[in-house]
Amino acid sequence: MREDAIYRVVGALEADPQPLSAADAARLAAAAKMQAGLTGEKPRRWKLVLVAAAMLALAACAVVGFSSGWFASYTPPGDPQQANELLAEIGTPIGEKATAGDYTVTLLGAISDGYDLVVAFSVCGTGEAALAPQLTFAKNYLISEQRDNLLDEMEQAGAPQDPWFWYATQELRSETRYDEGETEQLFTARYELRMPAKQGQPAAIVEGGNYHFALGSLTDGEGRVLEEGPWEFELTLSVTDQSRALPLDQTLAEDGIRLESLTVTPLNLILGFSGVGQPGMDAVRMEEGEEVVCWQKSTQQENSQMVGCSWGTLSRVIDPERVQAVQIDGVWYLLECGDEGCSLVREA
Amino acid sequence: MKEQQLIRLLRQDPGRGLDALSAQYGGLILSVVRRVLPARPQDAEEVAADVLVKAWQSADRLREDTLRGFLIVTARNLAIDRWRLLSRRREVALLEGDRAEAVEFWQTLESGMVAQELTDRILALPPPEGELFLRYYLLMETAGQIAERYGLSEGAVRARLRRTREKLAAELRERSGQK
Repeated sequence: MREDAIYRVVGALEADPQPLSAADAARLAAAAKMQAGLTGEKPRRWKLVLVAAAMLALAACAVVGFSSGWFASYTPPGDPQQANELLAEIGTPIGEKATAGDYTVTLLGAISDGYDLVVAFSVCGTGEAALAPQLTFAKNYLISEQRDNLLDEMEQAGAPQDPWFWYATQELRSETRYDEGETEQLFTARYELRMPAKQGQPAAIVEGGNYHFALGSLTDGEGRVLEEGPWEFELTLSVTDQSRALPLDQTLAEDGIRLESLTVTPLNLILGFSGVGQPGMDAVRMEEGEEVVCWQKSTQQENSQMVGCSWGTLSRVIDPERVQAVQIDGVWYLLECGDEGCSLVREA
Repeated sequence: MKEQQLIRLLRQDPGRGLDALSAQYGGLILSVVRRVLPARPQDAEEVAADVLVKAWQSADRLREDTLRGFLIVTARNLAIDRWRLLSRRREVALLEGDRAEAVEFWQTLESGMVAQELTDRILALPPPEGELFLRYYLLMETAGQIAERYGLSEGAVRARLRRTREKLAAELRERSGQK
Protein backbone atom coordinates (compact mmCIF):
# COMPACT_ATOMS: atom_id res chain seq x y z
CA MET A 1 0.00 0.00 0.00
CA ARG A 2 1.15 3.53 -0.66
CA GLU A 3 0.69 4.38 2.99
CA ASP A 4 2.71 1.46 4.36
CA ALA A 5 5.52 3.75 5.51
CA ILE A 6 3.14 5.79 7.64
CA TYR A 7 1.47 2.65 8.97
CA ARG A 8 4.81 1.25 10.11
CA VAL A 9 5.78 4.42 11.95
CA VAL A 10 2.40 5.04 13.54
CA GLY A 11 1.97 1.39 14.43
CA ALA A 12 5.19 1.46 16.40
CA LEU A 13 3.91 4.18 18.73
CA GLU A 14 2.83 3.07 22.16
CA ALA A 15 -0.78 3.78 22.97
CA ASP A 16 -3.01 3.32 25.96
CA PRO A 17 -6.12 1.76 24.51
CA GLN A 18 -9.23 1.69 26.60
CA PRO A 19 -9.93 -1.83 27.82
CA LEU A 20 -12.69 -3.50 25.88
CA SER A 21 -14.78 -6.19 27.52
CA ALA A 22 -15.22 -9.52 25.73
CA ALA A 23 -18.90 -8.71 25.26
CA ASP A 24 -18.13 -5.31 23.71
CA ALA A 25 -15.51 -6.84 21.43
CA ALA A 26 -17.99 -9.51 20.33
CA ARG A 27 -20.64 -6.87 19.64
CA LEU A 28 -18.20 -4.84 17.58
CA ALA A 29 -17.18 -7.89 15.58
CA ALA A 30 -20.82 -8.83 15.04
CA ALA A 31 -21.58 -5.35 13.69
CA ALA A 32 -18.59 -5.59 11.36
CA LYS A 33 -19.65 -9.01 10.12
CA MET A 34 -23.15 -7.82 9.46
CA GLN A 35 -21.89 -4.83 7.56
CA ALA A 36 -19.50 -6.98 5.57
CA GLY A 37 -22.24 -9.42 4.75
CA LEU A 38 -20.37 -12.12 6.66
CA THR A 39 -23.36 -13.56 8.40
CA GLY A 40 -21.91 -17.03 7.91
CA GLU A 41 -23.37 -20.34 6.88
CA LYS A 42 -25.27 -20.98 10.05
CA PRO A 43 -27.64 -18.02 9.82
CA ARG A 44 -28.27 -18.74 6.17
CA ARG A 45 -29.33 -22.28 6.97
CA TRP A 46 -31.41 -20.93 9.77
CA LYS A 47 -33.06 -18.55 7.35
CA LEU A 48 -33.92 -21.40 5.02
CA VAL A 49 -35.43 -23.36 7.87
CA LEU A 50 -37.63 -20.38 8.58
CA VAL A 51 -39.15 -20.24 5.13
CA ALA A 52 -42.17 -22.19 6.30
CA ALA A 53 -42.54 -19.92 9.30
CA ALA A 54 -42.29 -16.92 7.01
CA MET A 55 -45.12 -18.18 4.87
CA LEU A 56 -47.25 -18.61 7.97
CA ALA A 57 -46.37 -15.14 9.19
CA LEU A 58 -47.22 -13.62 5.83
CA ALA A 59 -50.59 -15.25 5.91
CA ALA A 60 -51.26 -13.34 9.09
CA CYS A 61 -50.00 -10.02 7.76
CA ALA A 62 -52.01 -7.69 5.63
CA VAL A 63 -49.01 -6.41 3.70
CA VAL A 64 -49.74 -3.29 1.77
CA GLY A 65 -49.51 -3.84 -1.95
CA PHE A 66 -47.61 -1.85 -4.53
CA SER A 67 -49.52 1.35 -4.69
CA SER A 68 -48.47 4.93 -4.23
CA GLY A 69 -48.74 4.13 -0.54
CA TRP A 70 -45.33 2.59 -0.41
CA PHE A 71 -43.74 6.01 -0.55
CA ALA A 72 -46.35 7.89 1.35
CA SER A 73 -43.78 9.94 3.22
CA TYR A 74 -42.21 11.04 -0.07
CA THR A 75 -45.39 11.60 -2.03
CA PRO A 76 -44.84 14.30 -4.64
CA PRO A 77 -46.91 17.46 -4.45
CA GLY A 78 -49.57 18.22 -7.01
CA ASP A 79 -52.10 16.08 -8.77
CA PRO A 80 -52.28 12.55 -7.24
CA GLN A 81 -52.25 10.88 -10.65
CA GLN A 82 -49.18 12.83 -11.75
CA ALA A 83 -47.60 12.01 -8.41
CA ASN A 84 -48.15 8.29 -8.92
CA GLU A 85 -46.78 8.48 -12.44
CA LEU A 86 -43.68 10.23 -11.21
CA LEU A 87 -43.10 7.67 -8.48
CA ALA A 88 -43.61 4.88 -11.00
CA GLU A 89 -40.98 6.46 -13.27
CA ILE A 90 -38.25 6.67 -10.69
CA GLY A 91 -39.35 3.81 -8.47
CA THR A 92 -38.52 0.14 -8.57
CA PRO A 93 -41.09 -2.12 -6.94
CA ILE A 94 -39.45 -5.08 -5.24
CA GLY A 95 -41.75 -6.94 -2.87
CA GLU A 96 -39.22 -9.34 -1.35
CA LYS A 97 -39.77 -10.63 2.15
CA ALA A 98 -37.48 -11.84 4.90
CA THR A 99 -38.47 -13.25 8.23
CA ALA A 100 -36.63 -13.49 11.52
CA GLY A 101 -38.41 -14.72 14.61
CA ASP A 102 -41.98 -13.44 14.62
CA TYR A 103 -41.24 -10.52 12.33
CA THR A 104 -41.49 -10.31 8.58
CA VAL A 105 -39.97 -7.41 6.73
CA THR A 106 -41.16 -6.68 3.20
CA LEU A 107 -38.88 -4.62 1.01
CA LEU A 108 -41.54 -2.74 -0.91
CA GLY A 109 -39.47 -0.75 -3.33
CA ALA A 110 -36.76 1.78 -3.96
CA ILE A 111 -36.51 5.18 -5.58
CA SER A 112 -33.36 6.89 -6.67
CA ASP A 113 -32.25 9.99 -8.49
CA GLY A 114 -28.74 8.61 -8.86
CA TYR A 115 -27.49 10.70 -5.94
CA ASP A 116 -29.58 9.19 -3.17
CA LEU A 117 -31.40 5.93 -2.74
CA VAL A 118 -34.58 5.72 -0.70
CA VAL A 119 -35.87 2.29 0.22
CA ALA A 120 -39.35 1.62 1.53
CA PHE A 121 -40.05 -1.39 3.69
CA SER A 122 -42.63 -2.57 6.13
CA VAL A 123 -42.63 -4.79 9.17
CA CYS A 124 -45.37 -6.88 10.54
CA GLY A 125 -45.29 -9.57 13.15
CA THR A 126 -47.30 -12.28 14.67
CA GLY A 127 -46.55 -11.08 18.18
CA GLU A 128 -48.32 -8.19 19.87
CA ALA A 129 -45.00 -6.38 20.18
CA ALA A 130 -45.06 -5.66 16.48
CA LEU A 131 -47.95 -3.35 17.07
CA ALA A 132 -45.99 -1.23 19.51
CA PRO A 133 -45.52 2.36 18.39
CA GLN A 134 -42.12 3.80 17.50
CA LEU A 135 -40.60 0.59 16.25
CA THR A 136 -37.21 1.16 14.77
CA PHE A 137 -34.31 -0.79 13.33
CA ALA A 138 -31.19 0.11 15.26
CA LYS A 139 -29.04 -1.27 12.45
CA ASN A 140 -29.50 -0.71 8.77
CA TYR A 141 -26.89 -1.02 6.09
CA LEU A 142 -26.66 -0.53 2.39
CA ILE A 143 -23.67 -2.07 0.68
CA SER A 144 -22.99 -1.32 -2.94
CA GLU A 145 -20.52 -3.46 -4.81
CA GLN A 146 -20.54 -0.96 -7.62
CA ARG A 147 -19.66 1.93 -5.34
CA ASP A 148 -16.89 -0.02 -3.65
CA ASN A 149 -15.46 -0.91 -7.04
CA LEU A 150 -15.59 2.72 -8.13
CA LEU A 151 -13.77 3.83 -5.01
CA ASP A 152 -11.12 1.16 -5.60
CA GLU A 153 -10.68 2.39 -9.14
CA MET A 154 -10.37 5.97 -7.93
CA GLU A 155 -7.80 4.96 -5.35
CA GLN A 156 -5.78 3.03 -7.89
CA ALA A 157 -5.91 6.00 -10.23
CA GLY A 158 -4.54 8.17 -7.44
CA ALA A 159 -7.62 10.37 -7.37
CA PRO A 160 -8.39 12.07 -4.09
CA GLN A 161 -11.30 10.44 -2.44
CA ASP A 162 -13.51 11.47 0.35
CA PRO A 163 -15.11 8.48 2.00
CA TRP A 164 -17.35 10.89 3.85
CA PHE A 165 -19.86 10.01 1.17
CA TRP A 166 -19.86 6.35 2.05
CA TYR A 167 -22.07 6.66 5.02
CA ALA A 168 -25.38 6.90 4.63
CA THR A 169 -28.42 6.80 6.64
CA GLN A 170 -29.76 10.27 6.61
CA GLU A 171 -33.13 9.50 8.03
CA LEU A 172 -35.47 6.72 8.92
CA ARG A 173 -39.11 7.72 8.67
CA SER A 174 -41.89 5.47 9.81
CA GLU A 175 -45.63 5.50 9.95
CA THR A 176 -48.22 3.04 11.11
CA ARG A 177 -50.90 1.91 8.72
CA TYR A 178 -54.14 0.21 9.62
CA ASP A 179 -55.63 -2.08 7.04
CA GLU A 180 -58.67 -4.20 7.77
CA GLY A 181 -57.89 -4.54 11.42
CA GLU A 182 -54.22 -5.40 10.92
CA THR A 183 -51.37 -3.07 11.70
CA GLU A 184 -48.34 -2.65 9.55
CA GLN A 185 -45.51 -0.25 10.09
CA LEU A 186 -43.98 1.36 7.03
CA PHE A 187 -40.47 2.75 6.90
CA THR A 188 -38.33 4.64 4.48
CA ALA A 189 -34.56 4.92 4.79
CA ARG A 190 -32.47 7.26 2.71
CA TYR A 191 -28.87 6.65 1.71
CA GLU A 192 -26.36 8.77 -0.15
CA LEU A 193 -24.99 7.20 -3.32
CA ARG A 194 -23.14 10.25 -4.53
CA MET A 195 -19.45 10.07 -5.22
CA PRO A 196 -16.86 12.76 -4.75
CA ALA A 197 -15.78 14.45 -7.92
CA LYS A 198 -13.64 17.36 -8.92
CA GLN A 199 -14.08 20.82 -7.47
CA GLY A 200 -16.45 19.75 -4.76
CA GLN A 201 -19.14 18.78 -7.20
CA PRO A 202 -20.49 15.36 -6.35
CA ALA A 203 -21.17 12.96 -9.18
CA ALA A 204 -24.26 10.84 -9.34
CA ILE A 205 -24.29 7.11 -9.85
CA VAL A 206 -27.04 7.14 -12.42
CA GLU A 207 -26.49 3.65 -13.73
CA GLY A 208 -28.02 1.97 -10.73
CA GLY A 209 -26.40 -1.25 -9.60
CA ASN A 210 -26.59 -4.13 -7.20
CA TYR A 211 -27.11 -3.47 -3.53
CA HIS A 212 -27.17 -5.52 -0.38
CA PHE A 213 -29.65 -4.08 2.09
CA ALA A 214 -29.72 -5.38 5.65
CA LEU A 215 -31.71 -4.54 8.74
CA GLY A 216 -31.09 -5.60 12.29
CA SER A 217 -32.10 -5.03 15.93
CA LEU A 218 -35.80 -4.30 15.72
CA THR A 219 -36.32 -2.16 18.78
CA ASP A 220 -39.41 -0.86 20.51
CA GLY A 221 -39.99 2.72 21.58
CA GLU A 222 -38.15 2.16 24.85
CA GLY A 223 -35.03 0.75 23.26
CA ARG A 224 -35.75 -2.92 24.00
CA VAL A 225 -34.60 -5.24 21.24
CA LEU A 226 -37.54 -7.32 20.07
CA GLU A 227 -35.63 -9.31 17.47
CA GLU A 228 -32.01 -9.12 16.37
CA GLY A 229 -32.58 -10.30 12.83
CA PRO A 230 -30.92 -9.82 10.42
CA TRP A 231 -33.34 -9.25 7.57
CA GLU A 232 -31.33 -9.18 4.37
CA PHE A 233 -32.15 -8.35 0.77
CA GLU A 234 -30.40 -8.14 -2.55
CA LEU A 235 -31.75 -5.55 -4.93
CA THR A 236 -30.84 -4.46 -8.40
CA LEU A 237 -31.65 -0.88 -9.10
CA SER A 238 -32.13 0.66 -12.48
CA VAL A 239 -31.85 4.42 -12.37
CA THR A 240 -32.98 6.79 -15.07
CA ASP A 241 -31.35 10.18 -14.92
CA GLN A 242 -34.20 12.66 -14.59
CA SER A 243 -32.15 15.55 -13.38
CA ARG A 244 -32.53 18.98 -14.89
CA ALA A 245 -29.17 20.67 -15.27
CA LEU A 246 -29.23 24.44 -15.67
CA PRO A 247 -25.98 26.22 -16.48
CA LEU A 248 -25.82 29.58 -14.74
CA ASP A 249 -23.46 32.47 -15.12
CA GLN A 250 -24.38 35.19 -12.69
CA THR A 251 -23.45 36.74 -9.40
CA LEU A 252 -25.64 36.89 -6.33
CA ALA A 253 -25.96 40.58 -5.61
CA GLU A 254 -26.10 40.07 -1.85
CA ASP A 255 -22.71 38.54 -1.27
CA GLY A 256 -20.94 38.36 -4.59
CA ILE A 257 -21.07 34.59 -4.90
CA ARG A 258 -20.76 33.43 -8.48
CA LEU A 259 -23.43 30.91 -9.44
CA GLU A 260 -22.28 28.41 -12.03
CA SER A 261 -24.89 25.69 -12.22
CA LEU A 262 -28.09 24.41 -10.71
CA THR A 263 -29.03 20.77 -10.90
CA VAL A 264 -32.54 19.80 -9.90
CA THR A 265 -33.29 16.10 -9.40
CA PRO A 266 -36.40 14.40 -8.05
CA LEU A 267 -34.73 14.26 -4.62
CA ASN A 268 -32.04 16.94 -4.50
CA LEU A 269 -30.96 20.46 -5.43
CA ILE A 270 -27.30 21.10 -6.15
CA LEU A 271 -25.99 24.62 -6.65
CA GLY A 272 -22.48 24.95 -8.03
CA PHE A 273 -20.77 28.20 -7.09
CA SER A 274 -17.46 29.96 -6.64
CA GLY A 275 -16.47 32.60 -4.15
CA VAL A 276 -16.40 32.84 -0.40
CA GLY A 277 -19.69 31.95 1.21
CA GLN A 278 -22.16 29.25 1.90
CA PRO A 279 -25.35 29.78 -0.06
CA GLY A 280 -28.00 27.62 1.57
CA MET A 281 -30.63 25.86 -0.53
CA ASP A 282 -33.93 26.27 1.30
CA ALA A 283 -36.80 25.11 -0.91
CA VAL A 284 -38.34 24.86 -4.36
CA ARG A 285 -41.70 26.09 -5.53
CA MET A 286 -43.58 24.05 -8.09
CA GLU A 287 -45.65 25.39 -10.98
CA GLU A 288 -48.82 24.73 -8.98
CA GLY A 289 -47.52 26.98 -6.22
CA GLU A 290 -46.73 24.23 -3.73
CA GLU A 291 -43.44 24.50 -1.91
CA VAL A 292 -41.14 21.62 -1.02
CA VAL A 293 -38.53 22.38 1.59
CA CYS A 294 -35.02 21.05 1.90
CA TRP A 295 -34.94 19.16 5.17
CA GLN A 296 -31.20 19.09 5.08
CA LYS A 297 -28.73 21.62 3.75
CA SER A 298 -25.01 21.44 3.37
CA THR A 299 -22.18 23.19 1.63
CA GLN A 300 -18.93 21.70 0.47
CA GLN A 301 -16.15 24.05 -0.37
CA GLU A 302 -12.56 23.53 -1.30
CA ASN A 303 -10.54 26.04 0.65
CA SER A 304 -7.89 26.69 -1.91
CA GLN A 305 -10.07 27.13 -4.95
CA MET A 306 -13.14 28.73 -3.41
CA VAL A 307 -15.43 26.56 -5.42
CA GLY A 308 -18.06 24.31 -4.06
CA CYS A 309 -21.61 23.22 -4.11
CA SER A 310 -24.56 23.75 -1.87
CA TRP A 311 -26.76 20.80 -1.37
CA GLY A 312 -30.45 20.74 -0.56
CA THR A 313 -32.00 17.40 0.25
CA LEU A 314 -35.68 17.63 -0.58
CA SER A 315 -38.26 16.38 1.85
CA ARG A 316 -40.46 14.98 -0.92
CA VAL A 317 -40.09 13.77 -4.48
CA ILE A 318 -40.48 16.45 -7.13
CA ASP A 319 -40.72 16.59 -10.89
CA PRO A 320 -37.66 18.69 -11.87
CA GLU A 321 -39.41 19.95 -14.99
CA ARG A 322 -42.13 21.59 -12.92
CA VAL A 323 -39.89 23.64 -10.66
CA GLN A 324 -40.73 27.31 -10.98
CA ALA A 325 -38.51 28.91 -8.36
CA VAL A 326 -35.81 28.12 -5.84
CA GLN A 327 -35.19 29.68 -2.47
CA ILE A 328 -31.61 30.46 -1.51
CA ASP A 329 -30.83 31.91 1.89
CA GLY A 330 -34.45 32.92 2.35
CA VAL A 331 -34.76 34.71 -1.00
CA TRP A 332 -36.93 33.34 -3.79
CA TYR A 333 -35.51 33.29 -7.31
CA LEU A 334 -37.56 32.52 -10.39
CA LEU A 335 -35.99 30.10 -12.85
CA GLU A 336 -35.85 31.74 -16.25
CA CYS A 337 -34.39 29.85 -19.18
CA GLY A 338 -34.06 31.03 -22.75
CA ASP A 339 -31.93 30.51 -25.81
CA GLU A 340 -28.94 32.09 -24.10
CA GLY A 341 -29.06 29.92 -21.02
CA CYS A 342 -30.72 30.15 -17.63
CA SER A 343 -30.71 32.64 -14.85
CA LEU A 344 -32.18 33.11 -11.43
CA VAL A 345 -34.29 36.25 -11.19
CA ARG A 346 -34.89 37.61 -7.73
CA GLU A 347 -38.60 37.71 -6.98
CA ALA A 348 -40.05 41.08 -6.24
CA MET B 1 -2.42 -13.59 18.68
CA LYS B 2 0.45 -12.42 16.50
CA GLU B 3 -0.28 -10.00 13.68
CA GLN B 4 0.74 -12.50 11.04
CA GLN B 5 -1.77 -15.04 12.38
CA LEU B 6 -4.46 -12.36 12.59
CA ILE B 7 -4.00 -11.39 8.97
CA ARG B 8 -4.00 -15.01 7.84
CA LEU B 9 -7.19 -15.63 9.78
CA LEU B 10 -8.82 -12.54 8.25
CA ARG B 11 -7.99 -13.87 4.79
CA GLN B 12 -8.97 -17.49 5.36
CA ASP B 13 -11.82 -17.28 7.86
CA PRO B 14 -13.07 -13.67 7.92
CA GLY B 15 -15.70 -14.27 10.60
CA ARG B 16 -13.19 -15.62 13.11
CA GLY B 17 -10.64 -13.12 11.92
CA LEU B 18 -12.93 -10.21 12.74
CA ASP B 19 -13.65 -11.73 16.16
CA ALA B 20 -9.94 -11.95 16.89
CA LEU B 21 -9.20 -8.51 15.47
CA SER B 22 -11.94 -6.93 17.55
CA ALA B 23 -10.75 -8.68 20.71
CA GLN B 24 -7.15 -7.63 20.17
CA TYR B 25 -7.52 -4.16 18.67
CA GLY B 26 -11.10 -3.09 19.33
CA GLY B 27 -10.01 -1.04 22.35
CA LEU B 28 -7.29 0.75 20.41
CA ILE B 29 -9.62 1.50 17.51
CA LEU B 30 -12.33 2.84 19.80
CA SER B 31 -9.80 4.98 21.68
CA VAL B 32 -8.82 6.76 18.48
CA VAL B 33 -12.39 7.09 17.23
CA ARG B 34 -13.69 8.44 20.52
CA ARG B 35 -11.12 11.23 20.46
CA VAL B 36 -12.84 12.55 17.34
CA LEU B 37 -16.40 11.65 18.35
CA PRO B 38 -16.36 11.97 22.15
CA ALA B 39 -20.07 12.62 22.54
CA ARG B 40 -21.31 10.12 19.96
CA PRO B 41 -20.90 6.60 21.42
CA GLN B 42 -23.22 4.96 18.88
CA ASP B 43 -21.44 6.59 15.96
CA ALA B 44 -18.09 5.68 17.49
CA GLU B 45 -19.07 2.00 17.62
CA GLU B 46 -20.33 2.08 14.05
CA VAL B 47 -17.10 3.66 12.87
CA ALA B 48 -15.06 1.12 14.82
CA ALA B 49 -17.01 -1.65 13.07
CA ASP B 50 -16.27 0.07 9.75
CA VAL B 51 -12.57 -0.01 10.59
CA LEU B 52 -12.73 -3.76 11.17
CA VAL B 53 -14.49 -4.19 7.82
CA LYS B 54 -11.82 -2.11 6.11
CA ALA B 55 -9.13 -4.30 7.65
CA TRP B 56 -10.87 -7.38 6.33
CA GLN B 57 -11.24 -5.81 2.88
CA SER B 58 -7.55 -4.87 2.92
CA ALA B 59 -6.29 -8.14 4.39
CA ASP B 60 -4.53 -9.16 1.19
CA ARG B 61 -2.45 -6.00 1.28
CA LEU B 62 -1.73 -5.84 5.01
CA ARG B 63 1.47 -7.11 6.55
CA GLU B 64 2.42 -7.83 10.12
CA ASP B 65 4.32 -4.56 10.44
CA THR B 66 1.54 -2.44 8.95
CA LEU B 67 -1.62 -3.87 10.53
CA ARG B 68 -1.55 -1.86 13.75
CA GLY B 69 -0.75 1.40 11.98
CA PHE B 70 -3.41 0.71 9.36
CA LEU B 71 -6.01 0.31 12.11
CA ILE B 72 -4.97 3.54 13.83
CA VAL B 73 -4.89 5.64 10.66
CA THR B 74 -8.10 4.13 9.30
CA ALA B 75 -9.86 4.69 12.63
CA ARG B 76 -8.74 8.29 12.58
CA ASN B 77 -9.76 8.87 8.96
CA LEU B 78 -13.15 7.18 9.20
CA ALA B 79 -13.92 8.98 12.46
CA ILE B 80 -13.18 12.31 10.79
CA ASP B 81 -15.36 11.31 7.85
CA ARG B 82 -18.20 10.53 10.22
CA TRP B 83 -17.63 13.76 12.08
CA ARG B 84 -17.85 15.65 8.78
CA LEU B 85 -21.09 13.91 7.94
CA LEU B 86 -22.60 14.69 11.33
CA SER B 87 -21.30 18.21 11.13
CA ARG B 88 -23.01 18.70 7.80
CA ARG B 89 -26.23 17.63 9.45
CA ARG B 90 -25.40 19.97 12.30
CA GLU B 91 -25.59 17.05 14.72
CA VAL B 92 -22.19 17.66 16.25
CA ALA B 93 -20.39 20.79 17.29
CA LEU B 94 -17.47 22.03 15.28
CA LEU B 95 -14.14 20.56 16.27
CA GLU B 96 -12.17 22.82 18.56
CA GLY B 97 -9.99 25.23 16.66
CA ASP B 98 -6.74 23.32 17.02
CA ARG B 99 -8.40 19.98 16.19
CA ALA B 100 -9.94 21.39 13.04
CA GLU B 101 -6.56 22.81 12.13
CA ALA B 102 -4.97 19.40 12.75
CA VAL B 103 -7.37 17.72 10.35
CA GLU B 104 -6.83 20.34 7.69
CA PHE B 105 -3.05 20.49 8.04
CA TRP B 106 -2.58 16.73 7.75
CA GLN B 107 -4.80 16.75 4.68
CA THR B 108 -2.60 19.46 3.17
CA LEU B 109 0.52 17.42 3.88
CA GLU B 110 -0.97 14.24 2.45
CA SER B 111 -2.06 15.96 -0.71
CA GLY B 112 1.33 17.62 -1.13
CA MET B 113 3.68 14.71 -0.52
CA VAL B 114 3.62 11.01 -1.16
CA ALA B 115 3.39 8.87 1.95
CA GLN B 116 7.01 7.70 1.87
CA GLU B 117 8.36 11.21 1.55
CA LEU B 118 6.11 12.49 4.30
CA THR B 119 7.22 9.66 6.56
CA ASP B 120 10.88 10.31 5.80
CA ARG B 121 10.50 13.96 6.70
CA ILE B 122 8.73 13.14 9.95
CA LEU B 123 11.37 10.55 10.84
CA ALA B 124 14.07 13.13 10.12
CA LEU B 125 12.71 15.40 12.84
CA PRO B 126 14.77 15.47 16.04
CA PRO B 127 13.30 13.20 18.73
CA PRO B 128 10.73 13.35 20.12
CA GLU B 129 9.26 15.91 17.71
CA GLY B 130 8.16 13.30 15.18
CA GLU B 131 6.39 11.25 17.81
CA LEU B 132 4.64 14.30 19.22
CA PHE B 133 3.55 15.21 15.75
CA LEU B 134 2.18 11.78 14.91
CA ARG B 135 0.41 11.44 18.23
CA TYR B 136 -1.30 14.76 17.73
CA TYR B 137 -2.16 14.46 14.04
CA LEU B 138 -2.82 10.75 13.60
CA LEU B 139 -3.53 9.28 17.02
CA MET B 140 -5.57 12.43 17.69
CA GLU B 141 -4.20 12.72 21.21
CA THR B 142 -4.66 16.14 22.78
CA ALA B 143 -1.77 18.40 23.66
CA GLY B 144 -2.61 17.72 27.32
CA GLN B 145 -2.39 13.95 26.89
CA ILE B 146 0.88 14.23 25.02
CA ALA B 147 2.29 16.59 27.65
CA GLU B 148 1.48 14.09 30.38
CA ARG B 149 3.11 11.22 28.51
CA TYR B 150 6.36 13.10 27.86
CA GLY B 151 6.54 15.04 31.12
CA LEU B 152 6.20 18.37 29.33
CA SER B 153 3.90 21.31 29.89
CA GLU B 154 0.94 21.63 27.54
CA GLY B 155 2.32 24.95 26.33
CA ALA B 156 5.64 23.32 25.48
CA VAL B 157 3.88 20.62 23.47
CA ARG B 158 1.89 23.20 21.55
CA ALA B 159 5.05 25.20 20.84
CA ARG B 160 6.88 22.12 19.56
CA LEU B 161 3.92 21.15 17.41
CA ARG B 162 3.79 24.63 15.99
CA ARG B 163 7.50 24.55 15.10
CA THR B 164 7.15 21.17 13.43
CA ARG B 165 4.10 22.34 11.53
CA GLU B 166 5.91 25.43 10.30
CA LYS B 167 8.94 23.37 9.28
CA LEU B 168 6.89 20.86 7.31
CA ALA B 169 4.77 23.61 5.76
CA ALA B 170 7.96 25.37 4.64
CA GLU B 171 9.29 22.14 3.15
CA LEU B 172 6.01 21.64 1.40
CA ARG B 173 6.15 25.15 -0.06
CA GLU B 174 9.74 24.63 -1.12
CA ARG B 175 8.80 21.33 -2.72
CA SER B 176 5.93 22.97 -4.60
CA GLY B 177 8.26 25.69 -5.81
CA GLN B 178 10.69 23.14 -7.20
CA LYS B 179 8.03 21.58 -9.38
